[in-house]
Amino acid sequence: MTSPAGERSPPTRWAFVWPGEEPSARALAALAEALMSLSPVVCLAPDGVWVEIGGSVGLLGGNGGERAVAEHTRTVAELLQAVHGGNPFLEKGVSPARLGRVPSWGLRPLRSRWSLPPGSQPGVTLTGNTEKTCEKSLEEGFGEEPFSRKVPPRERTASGVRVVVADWPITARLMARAVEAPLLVVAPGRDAKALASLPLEALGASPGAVAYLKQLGVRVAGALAALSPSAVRRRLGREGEDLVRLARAEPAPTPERFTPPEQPTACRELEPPLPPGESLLFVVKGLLDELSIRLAGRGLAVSELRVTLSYEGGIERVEELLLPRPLTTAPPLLAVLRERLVNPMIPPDVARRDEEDVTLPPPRLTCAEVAVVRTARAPRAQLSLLHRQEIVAEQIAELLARLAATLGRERVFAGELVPSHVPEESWRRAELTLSETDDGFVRSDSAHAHAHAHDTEGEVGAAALSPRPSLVFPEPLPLEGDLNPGHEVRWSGGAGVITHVWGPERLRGRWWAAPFDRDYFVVDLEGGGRIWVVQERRSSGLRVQGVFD
Amino acid sequence: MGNGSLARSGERPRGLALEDLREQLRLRGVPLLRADDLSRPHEEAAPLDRSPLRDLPPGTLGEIVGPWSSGKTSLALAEVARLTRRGERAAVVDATGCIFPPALALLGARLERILILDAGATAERATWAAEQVLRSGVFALTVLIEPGRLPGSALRRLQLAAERAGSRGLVVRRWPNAEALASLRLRVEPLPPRERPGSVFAAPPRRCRLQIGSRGAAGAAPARWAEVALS
Repeated sequence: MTSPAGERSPPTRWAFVWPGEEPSARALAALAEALMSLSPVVCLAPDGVWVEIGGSVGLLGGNGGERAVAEHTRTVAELLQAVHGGNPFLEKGVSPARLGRVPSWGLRPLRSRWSLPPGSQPGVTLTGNTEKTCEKSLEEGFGEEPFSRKVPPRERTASGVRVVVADWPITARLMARAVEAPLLVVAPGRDAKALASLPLEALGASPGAVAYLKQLGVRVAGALAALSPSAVRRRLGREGEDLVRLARAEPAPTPERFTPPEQPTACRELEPPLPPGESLLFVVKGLLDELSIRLAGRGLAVSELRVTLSYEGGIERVEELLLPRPLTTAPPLLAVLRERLVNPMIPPDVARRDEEDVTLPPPRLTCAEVAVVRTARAPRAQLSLLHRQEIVAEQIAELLARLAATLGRERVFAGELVPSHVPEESWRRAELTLSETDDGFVRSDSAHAHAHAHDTEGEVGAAALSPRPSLVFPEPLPLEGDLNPGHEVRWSGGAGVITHVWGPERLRGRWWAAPFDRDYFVVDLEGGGRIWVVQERRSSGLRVQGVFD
Repeated sequence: MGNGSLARSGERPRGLALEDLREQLRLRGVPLLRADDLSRPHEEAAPLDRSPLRDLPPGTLGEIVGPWSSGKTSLALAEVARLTRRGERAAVVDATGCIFPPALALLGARLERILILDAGATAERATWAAEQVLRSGVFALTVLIEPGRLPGSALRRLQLAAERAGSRGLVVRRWPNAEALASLRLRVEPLPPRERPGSVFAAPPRRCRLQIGSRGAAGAAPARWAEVALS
């Protein structure tokens, strides 16, 4: 990448996102976390967030060439999409395929934390033919520059968020604070020129230094850059030298990288307190939106959640939710929480108090907090044209989470065979396969796996082909009667006269630990019923293990 | 109706009146069945080599009704196994807590593609779980096993969930519902094995007989029985 002046420009490009008003440290951290989807290098400033967007370009396409330019264009587009909640390319009808995959989400939930004016809409609208702009950007060798010409001035946009892209982070930040434009792109190698017109105050100079320099006739950064750093240092000390280097856009230390919290938390204080009701879900949804966006920036999904609801009178309700599948988006998380929160909407101890004294109004919600207790890598499916696999996997994950929340996690499973003769140990509960692996080739035919499972112990090869009833009781039921044709047998679930008995299928083993020595019989009854009977050879008692239904 | 009016007339003996009635119905082509035709095993059941469950269209609810150990669960699970072999997913909502996955594996099912929900012994929970799965539309077949006696409203909810999502549901239970909501209803009765065993150890395959009915067929002559070999 070479600047018009022929100088080698730095390999990094920094975007500074300035929310417009003084945001809280928590809101900035949330923004930084979400912007990690664009670049792994995100840094926090007291008034905004830096995103290094040049490194990814170098990684994906090198520092030159058409692909790098296209990638850079895409990154800037995504940044705009993220901070403004809209995508200028998509608004103009440009195919996403032309620009690569553009995420469809914005940071609207986070924008509310910046106290933007209500009803503010995506602030960037490109004028003219955007496709031509893209082509032009390819010709000019750098994709971001044409944006700065096309973006309308601030008066024509509702959002106060500003984004400035420059070579150096400090340049980007200074320009964002000083220039009223939703997007400003400083061309590569032109940081010093961009800063030249800024007043000294914009560089962060102290009032004393500004007054002194103005006495010398230095009023803008460009004039300051022309001075010798050592000469200014002799007069203004270290501050003077730093100001000159800043005005010259000389390399400065990279800001410290932002490290997101291990367990992100979103909290909302409610003033006035919220009466109990389904409106609670609106509050929780906002928190889930924020958390899912922040985690998506790091490629993470939610595995375990804790929701803490604080009511008037110091009453607290904590709901912990262990998800069978990591979830990445807010709607399925909300669907799961709805099962827990809506019924009952009031915590049990509060409900009891209401029963005691119906004249007391129910306590109101004062604070809601959602904490991600555990995260997991977001499930990724191979990209397909229609993304159907991702959609189905997400639908199944949501369904499993809701079922587990109501039935219990241990009651939602898929079976998995275990190489063991003992019926109760011949399978275990496993997770359902979410990914599509069907290619016409059956990789793990369960029947074969079952046969193999029996073969591995090498004890009873024929057991693999032995019939097994579809219903097996967790605890066998005692059977009264003899196993002889013509005899009547009776158990707690039924009775019948035996017509045929097949067996025994003898299972014996594990003499060194927990020995078992059993005979299994298949017993036909009059009328066509068939049961599976087990006899412990030591006790000789008969029990019904299962029913062929 | 006609029988009552003839009996009241007292002009002809009851036996002759019944004979007349039978003759009139025979002439009009109305099939006549004895009262015990529906419960007595039909020795002439036609063999059926293809499960009628394959014909259950998307967006519908089927029902398999039969006494214990009749083979109704095996029939449903065989369809589950067939679908998973084709690469589709199926769900089994088990209200008995006794479903045995190795039996499914012996039917050739791919267990990793079968969602099993142990709904406990509560019919309400089992129905709720089945409704959720049906509504999701991501499973090719949802089988609800032994939910007990269900109110018509529960079946109606399942039917609507299947219709809305275009998925297929199957309720397996002992007692039939008075309201014929299911699009396909199979009545299953066990039959003794036909083959005599060659070995004293290996039990021969089981058989059952099916009577296939459908919604809208109420009042029509009962369908004939068909015989099916169970896996």
